[in-house]
Amino acid sequence: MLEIKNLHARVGDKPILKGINLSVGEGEIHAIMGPNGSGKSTLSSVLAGHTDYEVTDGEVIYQGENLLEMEPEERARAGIFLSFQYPVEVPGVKNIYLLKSALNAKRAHQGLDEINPVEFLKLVREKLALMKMDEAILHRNINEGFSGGEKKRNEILQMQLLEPTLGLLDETDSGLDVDALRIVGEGINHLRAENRSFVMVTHYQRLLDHVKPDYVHVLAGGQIRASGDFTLAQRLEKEGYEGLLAEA
Amino acid sequence: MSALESLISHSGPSAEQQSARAVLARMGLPNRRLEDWKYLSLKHLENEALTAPVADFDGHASEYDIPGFNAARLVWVNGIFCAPLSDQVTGLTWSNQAQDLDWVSPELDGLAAANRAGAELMEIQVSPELVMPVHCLFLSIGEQQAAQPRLQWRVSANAQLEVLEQHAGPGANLVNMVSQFDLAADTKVTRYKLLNTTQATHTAHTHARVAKNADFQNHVIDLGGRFHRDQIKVELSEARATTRLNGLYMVDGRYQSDSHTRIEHLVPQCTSAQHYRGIANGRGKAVFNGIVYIGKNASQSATEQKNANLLLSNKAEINPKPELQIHNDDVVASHGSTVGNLDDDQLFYLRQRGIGEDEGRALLTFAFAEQIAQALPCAPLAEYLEQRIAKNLPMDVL
Repeated sequence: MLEIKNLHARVGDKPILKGINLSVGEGEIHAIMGPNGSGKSTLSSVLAGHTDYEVTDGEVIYQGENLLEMEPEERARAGIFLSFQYPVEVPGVKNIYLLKSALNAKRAHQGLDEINPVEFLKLVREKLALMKMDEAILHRNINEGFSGGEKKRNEILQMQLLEPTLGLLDETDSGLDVDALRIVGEGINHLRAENRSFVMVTHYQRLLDHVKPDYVHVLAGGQIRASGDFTLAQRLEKEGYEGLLAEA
Repeated sequence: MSALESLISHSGPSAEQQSARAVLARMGLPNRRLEDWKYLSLKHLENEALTAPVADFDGHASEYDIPGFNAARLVWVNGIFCAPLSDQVTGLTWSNQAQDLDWVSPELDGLAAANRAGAELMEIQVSPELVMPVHCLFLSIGEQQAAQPRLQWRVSANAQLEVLEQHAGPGANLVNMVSQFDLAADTKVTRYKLLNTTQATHTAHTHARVAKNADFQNHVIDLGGRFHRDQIKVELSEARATTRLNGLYMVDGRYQSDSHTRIEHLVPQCTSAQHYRGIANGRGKAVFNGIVYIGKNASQSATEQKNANLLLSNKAEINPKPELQIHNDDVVASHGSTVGNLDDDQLFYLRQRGIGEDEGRALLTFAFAEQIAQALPCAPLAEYLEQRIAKNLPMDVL
């Protein structure tokens, strides 16, 4: 589904990704772990097409297409969803407008008509219930005045609705208390499917207790330094990044 | 003949009018040498002779109604009050015999002088029996006429007034208006001023004096036109008087919008708030000058001023100038003014959800203005405004 080859990227003059190689197959969950500043968030931002980052070398093939040539909205319509580490507040735009526009943009891409309002509301209510969120959130401005936990839940709510092919979860566990973490974890698990993959970027193991990855990669200094199965995350927890990277 | 010479020749016969005429002749119309007129000028009037206004209108005033805003309608055509087109309503009486409050002094500037010299004063009394909103429709029809309405609102104790002042019509006239609002104790006035004339040169002085426990709310919406200047002064003159001044100005093409506010806290325990937002596109120009004055005796004052501006083109221009003048230590004051482009992070967030770049930009522009629409305490007007804002955008965002 996703092939990353020798990916280099920088912000301004500062190189951050220095040759990432990663292959994500259909239905797989990959966790990218790493110390602060290792380039984890940059990787998810580059995959989503954030304009602050410049790709200087390498390629990314997504479902047979050159991902790096696609605009951010084209990537989104093709099924890539980024759950933001810091979801952006958009005063003046209601949450419900975003949900509907996003869903209809995807439907248009698939050659479908706009969803009818009754069906839309039914669908949204179903997802709200799953995320244990109040309907009032639909009529609030996007993320404005939301608590950290509400923002993260709102991200997963959008992901539920858009049913992406590739979910990029950037530090989704940060800022969540134990209960919210469980709800968010369930929200992600609920979406697990044979044809849907996830790349989860995280600093800690705690999200992985709820969403068990098939592969774990350790990113440091802009490169993947170690890869393994779930037990790698457990070793990290015990030995810390320094210990593990010293061995590698 | 210039506009100035025309205005001098339109002066009325009374002693006050003749004295204002002398002031006008001495000062002339405002020019860019004046601090208050630094950025935008009335130069286009220099070679424009203006005739005395004629109230000639054969259309239907109802064409200008705001859907859902049920109000008693009062109509002016080129500054002249048209009783046959206006509704009678309980709680509202008007007269042209009243003594002028003279709060807007002819010495203020040439426009104030011209209005005092040429206008006929209309006083509108508001009593507590008034329950219906009022829609004051000022139509500008024809061209090169000098429309100079002069209104004074006397709002008696415990009365409430919700008034929409709408400026509309295709006329290419000068509309030079003066409004005075006298709020007695325990009154509430909510005024919406909607500037919807693209061809007129609109200039206005408004002066409100707010007594004990009274509240004056003013929401100015400038949808863009050749030259729109709105200058307002609010005096909080007795304890626990409050005011809110909100505004939205949108200029495109070569439109110009000039907003000047002055709030005076003259006694203790008064509260004021301001939120103005502006969007400039094309070669549009806008000014926001917001002064808050807190006098020596005005302890326990609270004031808040917000001004945000969006520049959508590199040929557009916005000049924000917030000014706090505080002469008392026991005051809570905040202010902030920004000029910027659309937020890249917000745009990326929308695009990451599949919304195209153009639509995202349109949506964020709408959202910027929407914050003033959302703050209108009148749903039909908010909805009307949302539709008007959306209409100027390349995408359907409603």
